[in-house]
Amino acid sequence: MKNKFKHSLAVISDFLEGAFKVKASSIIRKEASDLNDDFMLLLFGDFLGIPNPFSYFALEFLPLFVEELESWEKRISIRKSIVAEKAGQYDFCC
Amino acid sequence: MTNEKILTKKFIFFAGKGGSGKTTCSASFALNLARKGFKILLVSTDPAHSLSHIFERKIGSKEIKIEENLWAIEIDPKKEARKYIKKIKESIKEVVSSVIVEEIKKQIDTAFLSPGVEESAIFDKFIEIMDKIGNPYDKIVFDTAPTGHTLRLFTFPELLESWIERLIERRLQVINLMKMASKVDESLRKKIERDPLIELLKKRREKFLLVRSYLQNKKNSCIIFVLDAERLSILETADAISLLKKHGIEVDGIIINRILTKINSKFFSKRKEIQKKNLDEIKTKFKEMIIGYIPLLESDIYGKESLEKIKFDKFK
Repeated sequence: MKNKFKHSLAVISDFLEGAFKVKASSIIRKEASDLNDDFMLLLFGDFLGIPNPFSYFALEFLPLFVEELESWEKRISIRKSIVAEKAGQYDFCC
Repeated sequence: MTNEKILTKKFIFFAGKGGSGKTTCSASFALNLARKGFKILLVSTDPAHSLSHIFERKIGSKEIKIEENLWAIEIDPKKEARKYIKKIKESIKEVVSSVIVEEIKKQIDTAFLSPGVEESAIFDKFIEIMDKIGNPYDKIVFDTAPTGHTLRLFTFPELLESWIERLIERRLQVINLMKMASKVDESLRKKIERDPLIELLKKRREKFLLVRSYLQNKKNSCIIFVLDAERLSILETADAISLLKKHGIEVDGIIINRILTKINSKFFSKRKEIQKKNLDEIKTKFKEMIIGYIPLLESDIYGKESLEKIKFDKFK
């Protein structure tokens, strides 16, 4: 009886994981990548024409970002509606 | 502040209005200390350098020996910035292909032309000089740029600190989210375990903090303003002192320059009267901050011989 209960718990947990965890993880990853884009904006905004009084010191961190730089510029310049983007993430209809 | 007290400090800054005699005071101060046996480095942070002129020899962006115990350097912002950019370009070359390097070079060169670069380059070198481990000098004397520039230099660490603080905060947010996501994804966990960026940011923050603590905690440093006994000079000095105070930086002393002494012409007696009034104002305004008086001399001050004769501790 006890074993049967444990077994069914495991099945339920597997189901829940499959149903929600993967989706949740991808939402969190998206959130992290958005925050990272914002972070890069603080550093390299002047590449896009936003003056940054600290750009000289920001250059020091550039070597760590060179690989991401091109895709970041593309992403950040087509960011039109943050609301729509966020809503899309949660399967809402827009 | 007494002169003995100044001698206990490691970093001594001379600041003041343009043309008030910062270079003269800092150079003679450095020279006299060097001759007392202290190992001294004299640093000019003014892009329009005049140490070369006063010592009648070329002093460049590298430390150069003037005489026994005395070295001097004139920070060259253009050269420092070029060196810095070159280093960054090189480390980028190690990471990505040459095509991307070309693309990014353009952006770096644009950044190189943006306003504030010279200021930043001077500040960066300034940190390097103050932060040098195993510093061979007993004291470092700074001949700073006119007031406006110097106020920026002194308040820069505070601004940079808050910028880098914000960056660290953001980066930690990113890392925390990635950590949450990585509970499902093993490969991600490895990537964020040791974030090189956070470490670089923290190293930077430490340097900014260090300079600020040197400027604010006066155990190691003192700031001396040089002024003429003239209306505008008094007002500018008072403003600068109160502005620095707002940023938590105390000014320790003032030196009054070009005081009229033996006068026998009518024109100058009038000037002397005005100066007397101004001197009284200085005495009430700055009180015990006054550490020295320098009389108006009959000849220009340049060269070691005339510098040697200026000893502000000898005046009334």
